[in-house]
Amino acid sequence: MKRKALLLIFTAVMAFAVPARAADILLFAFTGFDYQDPNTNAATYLDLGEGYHTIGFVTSFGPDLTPYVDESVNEYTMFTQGLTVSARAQFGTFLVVNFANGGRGRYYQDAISGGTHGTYGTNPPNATAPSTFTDGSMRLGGSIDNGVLTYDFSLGQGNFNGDMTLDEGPDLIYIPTGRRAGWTFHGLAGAPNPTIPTGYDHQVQGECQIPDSTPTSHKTWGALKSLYR
Amino acid sequence: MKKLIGVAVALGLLSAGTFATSYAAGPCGTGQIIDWDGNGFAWETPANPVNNVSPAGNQLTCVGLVTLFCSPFTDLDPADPSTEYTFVLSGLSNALATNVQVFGTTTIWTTNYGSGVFSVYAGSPRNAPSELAMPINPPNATVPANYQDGTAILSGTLANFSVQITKTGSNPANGSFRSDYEFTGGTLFSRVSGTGTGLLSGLWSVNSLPTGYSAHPDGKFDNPPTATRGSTWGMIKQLYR
Repeated sequence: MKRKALLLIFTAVMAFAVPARAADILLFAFTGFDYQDPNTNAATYLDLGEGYHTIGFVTSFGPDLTPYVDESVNEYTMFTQGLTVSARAQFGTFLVVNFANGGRGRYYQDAISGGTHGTYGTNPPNATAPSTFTDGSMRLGGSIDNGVLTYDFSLGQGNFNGDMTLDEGPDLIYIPTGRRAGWTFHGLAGAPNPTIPTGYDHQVQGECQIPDSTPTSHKTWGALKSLYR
Repeated sequence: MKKLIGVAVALGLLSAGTFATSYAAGPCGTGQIIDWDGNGFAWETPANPVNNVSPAGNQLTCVGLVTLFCSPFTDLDPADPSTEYTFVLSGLSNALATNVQVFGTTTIWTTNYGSGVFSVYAGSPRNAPSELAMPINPPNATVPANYQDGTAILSGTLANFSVQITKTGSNPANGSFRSDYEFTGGTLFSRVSGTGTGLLSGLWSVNSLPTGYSAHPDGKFDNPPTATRGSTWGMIKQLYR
């Protein structure tokens, strides 16, 4: 009876696979700038109802997409939209902003030869931004929910993150069905510095990534017993 | 009366012109000089932070694989199959424990790691571990060793290195880092000599990490400004005679 109880406990323990502590899987990384549109209250950064956008270039791809991209012939850009401030709280120099669900993030492909190079310009949206970042072919996109941005004005740094579910674009076929939800879209909202074009707020540097999961393995009762003989 | 006239204005205009053309340089248009992405990791000794709190006196080290070079290093190819470009940030230490603040449902962990050094290496063969299979519990046989083999093409100092992690409600914790940096050496130093203090910054991700690591930084060295120096009106006029 005691042996049976012990075996049952061992079985229960074996059934709970302890995931290996592997790094996240990168979908793509990006760098660029962020801006507000609409910016109904220019005196207040990300006031209620205002829109938050990140725009820029993909700097590298992860294992799911690397076989299907060619940075020698294509320019890859990214753009997020539909992130509307739903809640805002400021604590001294520290700001916390929540975005309503239903934002969208996408990456695009445009031929270097014959395409239109992504050009930030000033005071977006303008004649070239976001249009030159969203023309070409939209390759992969998804919804961004539970978005939040925090910014420390005294330190001059902050970050943003949201949950991303991939659901559109021709490159969606390269993402395993079981791995289209659960992505984190996040990045730095950087310090004020001279590289930021007029009308943009911060440099952004970030990634879309997902935790690497370790699958459980199935064993027969006989195989399990043999481990402890 | 001799007047000291900084040449900063002329150089500043030149710099502005450089920024204007760099906007047309794709990923380099954000103003960075060196960029890294998925293969970037940090750890602390003697022990990693617990619940984002780093005790006073911890030593922070970061390693990574360069993914993008911008001007004046566009001749370097991070995808070169025979040459691997890596970096190490080291010598950073927090004199004080992490400062924890709570505002409503948001918790903020801020740690200042002070000053340190950095080096960028060009090494062969390519032997830095894959970010999907990082050897556990650094320092170990290959981390940071395989990130600091090869030739130091650039080196310099870090100052005011700070990490800030935030968590709001049920959202996962997320963070950022920033530091001042200055190039001081390396075999390619001549390309950036005369530059001043630049900005090093990026994402500081603290979730789903390989065993023994405290963060996954994804960041960049921004183009440093041209250093200013004092001059006289006579010396300026001399330049244009």
